[in-house]
Amino acid sequence: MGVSSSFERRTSAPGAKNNIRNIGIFAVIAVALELLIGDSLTQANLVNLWMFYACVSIGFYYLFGVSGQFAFSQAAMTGVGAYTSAWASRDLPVIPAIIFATVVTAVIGGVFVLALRKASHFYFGIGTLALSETYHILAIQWNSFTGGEGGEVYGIKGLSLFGIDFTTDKSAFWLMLVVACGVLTVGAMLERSPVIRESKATRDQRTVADTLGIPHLRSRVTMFMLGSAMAGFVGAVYSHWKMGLSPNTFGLELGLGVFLMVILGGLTSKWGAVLGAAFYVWVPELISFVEEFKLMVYGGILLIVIIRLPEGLIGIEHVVMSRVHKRRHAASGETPTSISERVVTDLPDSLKPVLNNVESTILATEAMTVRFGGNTAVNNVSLELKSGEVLGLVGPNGSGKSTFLNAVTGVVAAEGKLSIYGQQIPLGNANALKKAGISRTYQSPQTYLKLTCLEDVLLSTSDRKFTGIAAAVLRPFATLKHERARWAIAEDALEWVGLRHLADTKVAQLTYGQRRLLELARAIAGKTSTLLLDEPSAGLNASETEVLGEYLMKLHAAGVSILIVDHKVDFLNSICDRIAVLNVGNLITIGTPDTVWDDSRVVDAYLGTQ
Amino acid sequence: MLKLSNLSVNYGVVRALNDVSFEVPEGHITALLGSNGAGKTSLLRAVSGLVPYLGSITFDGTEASKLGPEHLARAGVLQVPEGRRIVADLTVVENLKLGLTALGGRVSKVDIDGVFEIFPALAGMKEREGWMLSGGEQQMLAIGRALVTAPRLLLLDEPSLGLAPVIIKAVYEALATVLKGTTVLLVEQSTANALSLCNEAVVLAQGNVSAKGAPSIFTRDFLAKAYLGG
Amino acid sequence: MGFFIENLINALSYGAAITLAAFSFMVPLKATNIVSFAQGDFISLSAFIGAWLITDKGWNWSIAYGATLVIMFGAGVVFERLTHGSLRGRPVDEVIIATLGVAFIIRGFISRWRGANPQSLESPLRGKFFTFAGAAIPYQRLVIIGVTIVVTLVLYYVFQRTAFGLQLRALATDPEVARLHGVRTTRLAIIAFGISSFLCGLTGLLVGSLTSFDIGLGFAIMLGGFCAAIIGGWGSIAGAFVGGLVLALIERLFGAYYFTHFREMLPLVFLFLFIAVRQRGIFRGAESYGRL
Repeated sequence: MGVSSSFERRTSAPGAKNNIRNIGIFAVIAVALELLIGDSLTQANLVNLWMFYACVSIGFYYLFGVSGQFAFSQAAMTGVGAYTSAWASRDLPVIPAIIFATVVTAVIGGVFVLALRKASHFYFGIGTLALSETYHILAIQWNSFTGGEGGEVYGIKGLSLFGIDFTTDKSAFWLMLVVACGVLTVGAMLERSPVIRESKATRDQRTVADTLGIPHLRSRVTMFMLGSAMAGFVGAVYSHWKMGLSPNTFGLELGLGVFLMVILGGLTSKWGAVLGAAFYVWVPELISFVEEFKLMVYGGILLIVIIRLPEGLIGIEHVVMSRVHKRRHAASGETPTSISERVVTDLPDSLKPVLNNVESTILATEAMTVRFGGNTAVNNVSLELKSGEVLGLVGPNGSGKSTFLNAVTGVVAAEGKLSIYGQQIPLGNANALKKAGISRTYQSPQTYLKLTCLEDVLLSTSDRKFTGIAAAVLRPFATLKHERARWAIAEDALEWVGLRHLADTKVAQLTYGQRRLLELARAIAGKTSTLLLDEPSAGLNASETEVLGEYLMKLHAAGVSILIVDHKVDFLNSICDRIAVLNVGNLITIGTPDTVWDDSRVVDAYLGTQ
Repeated sequence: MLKLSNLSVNYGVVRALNDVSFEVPEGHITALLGSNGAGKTSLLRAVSGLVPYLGSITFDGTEASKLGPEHLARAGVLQVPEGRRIVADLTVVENLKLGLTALGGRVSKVDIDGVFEIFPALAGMKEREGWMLSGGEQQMLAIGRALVTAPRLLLLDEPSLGLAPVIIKAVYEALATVLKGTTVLLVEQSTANALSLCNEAVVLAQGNVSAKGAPSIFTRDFLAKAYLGG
Repeated sequence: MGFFIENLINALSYGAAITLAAFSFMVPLKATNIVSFAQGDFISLSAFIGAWLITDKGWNWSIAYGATLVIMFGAGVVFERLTHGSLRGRPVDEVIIATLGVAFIIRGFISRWRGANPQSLESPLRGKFFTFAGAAIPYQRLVIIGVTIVVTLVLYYVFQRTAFGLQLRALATDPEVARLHGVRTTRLAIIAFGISSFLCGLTGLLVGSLTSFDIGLGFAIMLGGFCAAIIGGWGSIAGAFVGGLVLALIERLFGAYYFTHFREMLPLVFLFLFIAVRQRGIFRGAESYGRL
């Protein structure tokens, strides 16, 4: 018996509001500008430069803003695209040369990230600085490739299509407009796929993303390739527009400039890059003081923005929207604090687990041991979670309960054996657990503050088809079809925990109790048949804990097996079939709620008496 | 010496401590007991000025929040945090020297040699780096690091956490001799040892004070109820 | 033979310079876990200040150098207040961006103040050299090497033997525990940044006075410093010293014979291969405690 959906299904992707409209507005503004000021040669050049820088910065937005990779290589990649296309166009026509250059840039980016995949954040950043410097040296010294002296190249083939010559500033405008809209459209397609949210999840909390089955290396590599390719592509176009190159065009000043553009515009949206580029191009033009002291002003702005307005100009919109949101909530009378006023319903059919009826033991550990330096946190623990049961795991502070859970889910290194449905699997294999339908929650809810509720729940999807950048761009309809199916399940999960009305709200605005339930919704949205819960009642008051218990009982009724670590005794007694007790890393006893607390060893453990 | 009045600590919407009031008189050892999540560590963090709080915490009459952790330490309030937290890449001697920072140039009647007298086991491993020590040795080092300044108020957060019973016994034996005359707030989950050492005990449950008094009233049944519920 | 010795000394003094640059960002890194990308511009700034004091103000070189170092220390204090001090509790990326902002500002200031043309910084040893086995060895280069060795020893002593160094090391590992024992974190951070800029000042004066310099003086040295720190083991003083040596020998000695036109690229290529293959430094540095 389940609940069928009684609400309207969404049709638009989360986080992809109004892309078509916004791209249209952008095109209109660009054309209007061109018509208004494009007669002046300087201004026409500036409009084109705006779109050029916007594309470079949008690429940087994906690489740094979304994927979190601190890189100094964006300007260099633009240069690589430019010089490579110039070189290729000696023998090839312009358009194949541009495509070739884009591919080369993407490949260089991909190889670079793969080579440095184990490098930490700082090393990676310094690596990109070295990459950028390498480009610079090659551009100046490798005359046989660049075809110039010291990187100064002239006489590059211009682009002409259908008889139109795109090498004057006025005609190049249409070329740049198409390029910019193309880049923005690629971005829009990404937003209708799992790519962006999964990239952000990998950026913000990698361990949790791993447990959810998100391929973090693929995400990092493809996002870096994408960002670099966008730079390379537009650099290649630039070389055939200007028909000449100089190494300083793509030098340190631009490398720092892209930081300014995306930080000032706002790191939270591709439109921030567009805004920042507009600023970068026109403010020195309009304010001569700025032109004179350009570098100092840019540095000052970067400093002030990062200190006072880290979300950039786009962030102003967010501040306004969240104030509106707060006022709306206050007006509707909804008290956003407690989750105790809830009607808990049965688990809907779409979320019911597919049960493996053969094995009676879901999960078994044998001699599980975890050591931190000289300290043995978990000592030789052999435990079984039986199919369909609710097993509690308790013990005083420091008894190793959470560490045991972390060992099972591969978060910490451990010795011993782990078997799922009777098959032994190597420890630390997060994917195997996910495939077996095992999900976990954490002591404090590991929900992604920068994502919306729906995006967060979508992360646990078991449908991993068409989730990459290539799929999003080359197979957009298949991607969207699978997304719609995922949205349906995620909405069912949100509806079940009573959070569907907050689907498009950022998780950061939820209360603690709501985030707890959100994490639970995410855990069951992925075809989960087994839940490992780490102190789910922590931070909840008595009535909230009761509600949590009701949710867990509904899951139990639908056949979900649960291993729950907690210390609220009444709560555990009301939901558990069996309770296992740990002390100082050792398993002391397992019993039913009626018998286990009378065991004097258990009382000793808690009171610390021997 | 330490007075808590209507102390509440919130982490966002989660109320970790609710309207807690008690005193630690000078020269007394007060035990703070309670099971997981009762709020004991939050209390100590508030006393050391690490987290903001509502209500009042005064040390010798001065409000703790006005001082902040560095100043409190220099005023003689030393905490041995939960989980030992010795600095892994420093040697035993260097960890103790770190403890001396709080003296700010003054002379301590305990000093590093004094700590080696209290914990002779440490004297044999002066140049060993912290990560090589066992759990018990790390605990002794962490306590020694706080004692090295002859603190006026010592805050001990679960010194028995994660240690084998034999080690706990050794640590508490050393504490019994050393802590005479020091004012101590001892947070423990392990009740027997704490009760054998203290002058009075306070039990926390779900962020509230559920019992206060001399050690004798805390019988096994009384405690089992307080920790495990009906 | 003379060619070899000349390039060897060249390499050693270059290695010394990038070692100093590596030290300059390692000190605040230990205190605050922040990597500053403004070091290059601080190095350039000090050379310009020194040149200005000597050429425009007519000061004696020793007074000018001393004054420059004092000014640089002060600049470091201001730098800390603008970046680390203004961004307490914020993600590390944001503080790094703040250092980029300061780098921009300094660079812009220099170009407005003195322009982009090559400058000259006077030094008592300029142009003086002695010959040995057919090689012309400038005294100045030997001074750079000597100063770096002294600084290495001093830093090592300070970090390992003084209370200040102890507090810094504790702060790098566990800032909360350090505070609980009375370590004044703000004061330490300020001093650390001051020392950092002082070291940048030393580097800029020593290298800038070798021949002529321009606004790009510091960037290459800073990049070399980063590479040296990575190769030697992030956070390890001995490591930075060895790393600087290795990279300089690759660029200036090996690169004097092979790939001469691309020799500046050699240490970078080496760095890529090094990180890709080994993932950690020669000495046990901060990464061995998982603190990066």
